[in-house]
Amino acid sequence: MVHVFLSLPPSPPLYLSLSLSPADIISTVEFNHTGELLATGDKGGRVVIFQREPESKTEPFSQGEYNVYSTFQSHEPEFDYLKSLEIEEKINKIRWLPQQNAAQFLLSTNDKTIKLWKVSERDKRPEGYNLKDEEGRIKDICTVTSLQVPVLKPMDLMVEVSPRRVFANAHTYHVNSISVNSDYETYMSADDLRINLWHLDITDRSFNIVDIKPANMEDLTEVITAAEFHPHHCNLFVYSSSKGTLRLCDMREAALCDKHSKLSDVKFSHSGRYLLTRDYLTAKVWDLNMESKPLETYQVHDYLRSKLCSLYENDCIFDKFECAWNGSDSVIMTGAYNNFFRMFDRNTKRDVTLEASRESSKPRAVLKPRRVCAAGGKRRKDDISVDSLDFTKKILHTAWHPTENIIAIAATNNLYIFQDKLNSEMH
Amino acid sequence: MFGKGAKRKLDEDEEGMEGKTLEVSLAGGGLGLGPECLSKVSYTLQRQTIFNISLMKLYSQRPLVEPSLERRVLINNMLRRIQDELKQEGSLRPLLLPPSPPPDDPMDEGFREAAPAFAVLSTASQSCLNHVDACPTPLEACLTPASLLEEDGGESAFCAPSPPTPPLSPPPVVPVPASSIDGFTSTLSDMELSLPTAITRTAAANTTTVTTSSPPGILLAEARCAELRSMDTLPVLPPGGLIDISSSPLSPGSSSSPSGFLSDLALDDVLFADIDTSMYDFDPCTTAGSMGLTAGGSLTKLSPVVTADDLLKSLASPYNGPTPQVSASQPFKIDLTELDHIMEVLVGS
Repeated sequence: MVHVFLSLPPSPPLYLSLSLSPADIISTVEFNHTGELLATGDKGGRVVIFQREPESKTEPFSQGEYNVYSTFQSHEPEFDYLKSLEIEEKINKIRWLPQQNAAQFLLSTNDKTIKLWKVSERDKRPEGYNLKDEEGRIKDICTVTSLQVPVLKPMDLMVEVSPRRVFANAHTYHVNSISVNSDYETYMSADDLRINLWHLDITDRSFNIVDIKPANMEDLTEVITAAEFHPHHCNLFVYSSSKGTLRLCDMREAALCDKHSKLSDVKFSHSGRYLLTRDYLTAKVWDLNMESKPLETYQVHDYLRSKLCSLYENDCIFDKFECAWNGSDSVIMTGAYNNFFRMFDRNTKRDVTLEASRESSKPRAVLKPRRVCAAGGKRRKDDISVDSLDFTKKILHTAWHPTENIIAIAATNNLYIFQDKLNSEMH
Repeated sequence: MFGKGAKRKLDEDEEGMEGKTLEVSLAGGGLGLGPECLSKVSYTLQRQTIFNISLMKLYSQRPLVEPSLERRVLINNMLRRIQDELKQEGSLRPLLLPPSPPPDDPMDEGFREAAPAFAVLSTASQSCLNHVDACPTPLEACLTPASLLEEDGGESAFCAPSPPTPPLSPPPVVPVPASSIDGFTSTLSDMELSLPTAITRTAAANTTTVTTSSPPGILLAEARCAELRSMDTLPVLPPGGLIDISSSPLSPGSSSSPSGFLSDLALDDVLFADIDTSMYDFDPCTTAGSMGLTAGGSLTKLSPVVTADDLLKSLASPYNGPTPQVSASQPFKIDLTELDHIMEVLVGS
């Protein structure tokens, strides 16, 4: 079944959305591997990390609430003096590294530079140094008359975020994807024309593994739109192109799928068997073992076919919608316009359109299915006509909790977190 | 571009020429006036509109940040596809050519191929405007034929409401059998049948008519682009910014070469040079530069903020007369796919 989603308190205005500054527009959303942390990046170069609150005895429903855990400035605007152009600070992608010790690590990237950040907690601080006073000033040695052993004293929890590595100067074009390999040691970064392979510890060297730049740029007809490693096989990765080609690569190159319209996103299923792609009008599921045609095709907003001229004129047709799998690979989710997002159940073939809005997201409110009536179609009560869709309200970035039915939806500068009703009632 | 000797007055020649072109093109499609003919025309219109939108998109870069390569490649692919199609239809060209192109015509193939559609478009739209009166005056101003821009200092041509254009024919309220009226009127009434399509494209065609021409034309296109952008809540290019494009240090003198335009885009490689832009012949050496400046400045005020859809809506009820509600909720069914669903969403194969 398609799940009934509840708004999860304290959703909006959970995000810092007091001002409607363009810098607040969320540009990426990503759960970590356990789903306990959720990171968003925005146009202003900031990363905000949310942490799921542990269940409390007094408030039975409190589990699942995500609260701000840490905020930091990941990227700053820069200037490319060779091209005389600004390099935006906008965070294009965030990827969490699998947790290996108490600290968490994440990669964030803007158009050019990838950074590795360490996120760690500190709840104790040393006290009683012999040579320093409480403020850290060096004591006059004459005043030291006795020795003491410094002790760790508990203090308020502090989340520290520190930059660990900066991977720069490897991309001529705009970085659109980063993906951490299942070997946990390497990752790749893809720009419009090239994909580079990095070791997480080495910042001054990367290996180019895909280069589709033609010798003569006049011959350029295709760019890379997204790339991702296979979840289990560290030698496999896939990338999608603006021409709708998916290429599954294994150090050699082989076309996986035939051609369709431009792809904006590609995601491996958790099992690693399927690929989910998103183009402008549809979402498709591909089987890695069948490259001739997609296994399933889902219409996301077919009613836009008659609007494409306007959507080309106003540049909406270039919007890059992302897509996501649920934890069991049985449901897929992707965004649309008018703050709508769509879910498709692969088994029952049922689908639903939901809306991320302030009204529908009062705590514990149940999301009501919405319906867009195509031009000329029969219009039912509460239907929205195609002509009244707001194309400035687009949901490009969505994320699904790795194991539970909790989803995060970025709608311009608001982050909405919804939870499956069944799921929340169990707790 | 028309040479100095080839200047024409709007009130006679312009209409006459377009009328003829329309007639010829329709005749070229066979006298059948059947749906195939109409859909062929509307396909041409759609294609031309998309072609022009694409070119404008390429030219209206926001220069502050590096433009998206992906977007540019997609637009470029679109242009290539349309150009290929136009080349394949090269046989149609003689029929659709303006009656007497100047002998030393510096226009390239692209313009010749493009010209017929402009002519058809502007004729169609002007006839609609005359019939319907539903369009705001600024729209008409935008439809000022490109050739006007070169005359009498573009400024006046732009600032003044568009010069009175004699209606091509009385509005045929009831479709009249073709035999009873001369061929031209019947083609017109047939145009009316295909109006949905024509009108849908008309808003974009505002730019269409002008893009082909001289420096003011380019500025108009730019200004119009800025308008489009502002509608989409993208940062608006101020009028000053538009003018900078023509006089920017990026293109000092080099822009006098016909194909210099694309190389002005801040690219690390000469990209897309095979799209022939010489139809956007740009020559800052002529006085047009300063002309364009004022024209561009005043234009931004004039350009109406109207999208194709808005226009479509505003025109919908007058045409569907008795059942306006239906038309409002049911936009025109274009028998053609929206230019084959914008080439299956940007030239997917």
